[in-house]
Amino acid sequence: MTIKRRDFLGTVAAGSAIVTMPGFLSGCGVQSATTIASATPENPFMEWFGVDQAVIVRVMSELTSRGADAADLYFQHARNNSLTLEDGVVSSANSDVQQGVGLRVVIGEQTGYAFTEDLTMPSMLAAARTAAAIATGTQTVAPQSFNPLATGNLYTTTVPWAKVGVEQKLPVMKFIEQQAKSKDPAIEKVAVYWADGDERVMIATLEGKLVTDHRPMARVTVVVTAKKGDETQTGYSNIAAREEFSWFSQERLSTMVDEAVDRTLIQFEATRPPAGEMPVILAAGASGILLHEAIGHGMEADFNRKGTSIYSDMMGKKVAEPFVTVVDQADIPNERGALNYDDEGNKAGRTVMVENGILKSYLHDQISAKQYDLKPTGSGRRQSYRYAPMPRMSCTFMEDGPHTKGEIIAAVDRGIICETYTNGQVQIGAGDYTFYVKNGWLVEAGKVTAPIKDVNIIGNGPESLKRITMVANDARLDTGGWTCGKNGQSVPVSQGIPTVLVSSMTVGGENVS
Amino acid sequence: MSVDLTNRALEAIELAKAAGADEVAASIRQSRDVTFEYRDGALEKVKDTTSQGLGIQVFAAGRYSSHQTTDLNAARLKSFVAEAVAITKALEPDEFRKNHSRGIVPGQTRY
Repeated sequence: MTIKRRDFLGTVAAGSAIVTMPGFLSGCGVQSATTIASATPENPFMEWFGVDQAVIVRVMSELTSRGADAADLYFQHARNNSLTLEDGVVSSANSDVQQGVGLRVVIGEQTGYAFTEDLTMPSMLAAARTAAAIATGTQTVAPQSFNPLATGNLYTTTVPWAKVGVEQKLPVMKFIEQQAKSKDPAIEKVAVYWADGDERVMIATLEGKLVTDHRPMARVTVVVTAKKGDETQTGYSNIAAREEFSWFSQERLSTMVDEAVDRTLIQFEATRPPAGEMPVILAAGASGILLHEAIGHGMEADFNRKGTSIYSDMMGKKVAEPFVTVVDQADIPNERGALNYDDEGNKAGRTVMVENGILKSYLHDQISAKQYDLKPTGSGRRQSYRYAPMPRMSCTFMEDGPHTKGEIIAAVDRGIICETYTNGQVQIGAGDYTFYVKNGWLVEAGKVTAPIKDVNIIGNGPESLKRITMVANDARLDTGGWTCGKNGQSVPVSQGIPTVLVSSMTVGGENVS
Repeated sequence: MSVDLTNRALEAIELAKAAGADEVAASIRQSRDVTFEYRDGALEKVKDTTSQGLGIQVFAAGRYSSHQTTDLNAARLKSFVAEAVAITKALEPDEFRKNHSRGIVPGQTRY
């Protein structure tokens, strides 16, 4: 991992494949699990969910009673709190707890799925029986005990969010509001959005694995409205990470506020650039949205398995210049998209999707990996116990290239720099995407000349990847709170990129005569 | 059903009052939805979902908010309710919502 984390640039993303702001055996009968003693001391997750080895063995046995190629139980407890501070008052406050178990059985191409929020034996057995009905064979031999894998340490916290009361969060929100208001007399309104969450996940698989993961999440967003004369402008910034309360240092918050204010005030000077085809410089960090939308989704193996991705027949072929390497990596400490294990209990790690311009690997969940006869890449994710997993991204970024930001700007005769984004989307099959650029700069004769705002950029993922003609050495992950939506499931993700030059893109600016 | 749903709702009301709520309404639900889809005589899709949940609506010091949980564990319900009341008190007073005796109806709780 050569990418450097930059602590304070954020975008609010709200997210079908959309990212926006503000996831054997066959054989004979099975013994009654209730007679089997626990093979290991019960862990805290088992206690939390009120189950033990014997219960899990019994439910797994029921789930695989008509055969299974794969099966898993996904226990999850998710606790989320949010607060909104607007015009100096707390205008909304919410708390929400969701707990349940998802039961999945996979046989061939078919999946039986059930979930229950009642974690009692009769309810779990009833759910398992229904899911099992998708299969028509005989009992698969289910494990007689589950072997706990070592817990990960990518986002260990000392104080869980459940222990942080509203009386601790409000002063932080008010600090943000005051900082923003004091920055410039033109600032009329400040809104602060707070969200924190704690997730406990326990996964038991047909292979006998038991995986547990405690996943914290923190996000704060500031939205600033400024007025000069009759003109009103709005801008925002946010920061998000798998972190705890102490992560919100004054310095970190002040940097976020500075960004939001700067992005807002610059719009009074900014104009929309002329429309047309032109070279586009993607600024380091948030421009990773291009990789996510235009390339990442196309690399998710479910779309390739079905032959609907434009990258379906491209494995081992050249898709970009030799200095382009694109990676999806889950094991980056405390990143919003980070995961110790994926939601199928596989170790989540680093997958090089494009290496030196050559297409190297898709992102696989267990089903797609089996079909391609490969190991899963730990990319099976789900929004919650209510959903079956599918291949998803985690932290997606491009590695450093041979150029510098200065060299890239100097190489552009007439074009734009895209710096902050509000959202993006892609049609995954064809790879056609659009992004909305909130802030950027005009580049003329190799120099940055004027601020621009409110521009759509439109392109085709594989085409844009081929047109990346320069890559700088300033790669970093964006710290904004991006959320990716796909097939109705939302998951937190991170993205990043160094400064890159796309030789030609369609910029939806203004027509000038 | 190992969890006595009605008692949990009553407990939630008592817990909220103990935490300083002036008025509380609690609603509780459990439902199961099973779907089998056949095509040409063969089972194509199965889905079985059992949902349960407790919602509370809290009035405290002229403020109102509503909260939901699907986790009916007794110890954790206590902290959930305490937090719900605490964040209600942090809100701006809601002068347009009256907490007269019939002002809060369990059916209003949204999941």
